[in-house]
Amino acid sequence: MRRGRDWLLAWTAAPGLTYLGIFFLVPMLLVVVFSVLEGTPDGGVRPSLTLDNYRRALDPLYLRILARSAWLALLTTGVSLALAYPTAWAIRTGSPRRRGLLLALVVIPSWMNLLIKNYAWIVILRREGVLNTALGSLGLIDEPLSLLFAPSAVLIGLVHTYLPFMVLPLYVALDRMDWSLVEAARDLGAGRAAVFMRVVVPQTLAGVAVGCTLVFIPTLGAFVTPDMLGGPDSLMVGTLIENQLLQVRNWPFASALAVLLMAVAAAALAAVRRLQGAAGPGALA
Amino acid sequence: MLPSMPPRDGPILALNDLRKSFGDTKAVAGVTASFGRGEYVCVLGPSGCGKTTLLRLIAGFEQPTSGDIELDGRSLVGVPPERRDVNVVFQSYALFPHLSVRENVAFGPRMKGVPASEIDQRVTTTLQMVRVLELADRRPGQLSGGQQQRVALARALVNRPKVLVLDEPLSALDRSLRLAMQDELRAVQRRTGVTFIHITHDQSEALTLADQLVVMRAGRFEQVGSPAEVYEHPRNRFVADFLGSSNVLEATADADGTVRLAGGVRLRAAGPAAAPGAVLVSLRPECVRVEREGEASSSRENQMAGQVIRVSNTGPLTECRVDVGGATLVAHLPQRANIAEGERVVVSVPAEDVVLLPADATDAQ
Repeated sequence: MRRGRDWLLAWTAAPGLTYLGIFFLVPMLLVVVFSVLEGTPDGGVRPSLTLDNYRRALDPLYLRILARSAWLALLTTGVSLALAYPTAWAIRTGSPRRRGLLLALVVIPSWMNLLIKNYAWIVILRREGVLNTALGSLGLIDEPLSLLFAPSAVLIGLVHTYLPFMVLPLYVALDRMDWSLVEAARDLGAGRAAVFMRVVVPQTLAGVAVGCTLVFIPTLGAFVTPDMLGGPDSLMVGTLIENQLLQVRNWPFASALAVLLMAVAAAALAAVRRLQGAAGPGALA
Repeated sequence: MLPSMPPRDGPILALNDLRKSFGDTKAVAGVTASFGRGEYVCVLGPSGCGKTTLLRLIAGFEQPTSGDIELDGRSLVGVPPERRDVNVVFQSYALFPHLSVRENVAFGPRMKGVPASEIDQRVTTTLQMVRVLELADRRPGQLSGGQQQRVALARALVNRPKVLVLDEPLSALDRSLRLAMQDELRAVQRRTGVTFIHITHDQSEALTLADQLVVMRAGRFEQVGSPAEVYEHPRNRFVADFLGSSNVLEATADADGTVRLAGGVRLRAAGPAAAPGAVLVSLRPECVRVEREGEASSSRENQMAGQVIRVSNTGPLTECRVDVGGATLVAHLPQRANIAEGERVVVSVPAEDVVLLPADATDAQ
């Protein structure tokens, strides 16, 4: 019986594992291999091992880009969390009938193509755009704000794209929470702020961790949005890798940058894991 | 753990025509009662009778549609739960899973700004009282149901509330533990002197624990009184039925003070005579005497001839159903009763155990 179940388990897992093996693990290994090979001026690689790519990637010039990317990803995560928590709260505490509608409103924008979304932001944010025109005609600003082609536009664009990935795990966490604990806390004299900080937040830490991971990791390597909405001073590591890969055709250097990026992402994941561990046995995996 | 304030006169909790509606549903439909200091009050009723809404009104999780709740002479209307001297032991216990037992119990005093040194000492004393001090560093997830129950009790009592509300506190425990916890609840209540309002649907639990018993149905208080009073003199068929399998029979009261059952049997009741007309007669199973024909003393009151339909052994006593012509009476006999099915018997009931109830039209359900 036990053996039969193991056998069945192996077979149900096999297709997915094979897929991941071929299309995820192999390319990853290729990237790692490329990162220690020597590049040729015509865009090829020479089969001789070197650490020059990493030495170059750790140059302050590139480290600054990596740090800027990490900072932007952190900022995006923070802003998303600050926006998503009240949204998830409102959805969960609203009437059950309205819940489905609000959840749909959160999810539907993510069906829109990323390029179209970014072009829409360009239309909104440019000097003669919707936002500046509106603010100007309201008399709130004297001269147009230069939001576009700057880090602020990238932040706005990234938050817009990744907000649903923060709202949904938070909603699930709030939905699973034992709401009688809120009443218990109030009964014991806790005001609204204390109820939130001491009962709701600890109970939803798992959802916060999942949401932050789902936002931080993809924004760290994002290149479409920074490329379209960012300016020359907001070059991100994702854009840099894309440049090295497609324009400069220096695959080994691009690979070394990619490995470095993965290392930062892995470090972030490990930090989240530790945070969840600290939350105790009540936290969900 | 004694209340810090000197005792004052007047009830600790008073409900004044309290009402709560949800849309068209009247969950609490106008209740008035007052409860004294240090009383153990049990609110007994079937599910859906409004007792949970009553609890939530007292705790402050719901605001009344109309009427008033007074705690120690001050109205609670509009006062949020965090500013009431009322604490709740929740049915699900609602212990904070991310906090240890000690932190759970310290939560209330901490929120109220009690100095740290005093919190420590109060938490220890309270945990000691409910005998879970050795579990202080565990998390709720590592405790059994009975232990969680004690921690929930400690977490509420440590705040020294004027009123403690318990929502079906024993319903999640198995029978033997439930009986032990009943004794413990009663002992803790006596020691602390806090007024307990214990919500339950279990009539034996209510009868065992209560100083003051409230029987609730459809949002109203059907009867309020001591358990003995309510048990021996139920005010209507619902109370009589709910407080134990009573024999409630339709009858007619005659001008001479006796009542006539549907089958023609005439009974004399010791209490004040009912107005002539339709009445109900309640006979407690344990007050019904069953004797073999020929063995019965002729001096017994209210004799009825009958035939045993069924004898079933339910542990400590024998339940015996007797057809007395037109009605079936249930009698609880001591274990050694030697009566067989089909036997001709004489049934008798002392006049003081014949309780007359109004034949209320709304009771005919």
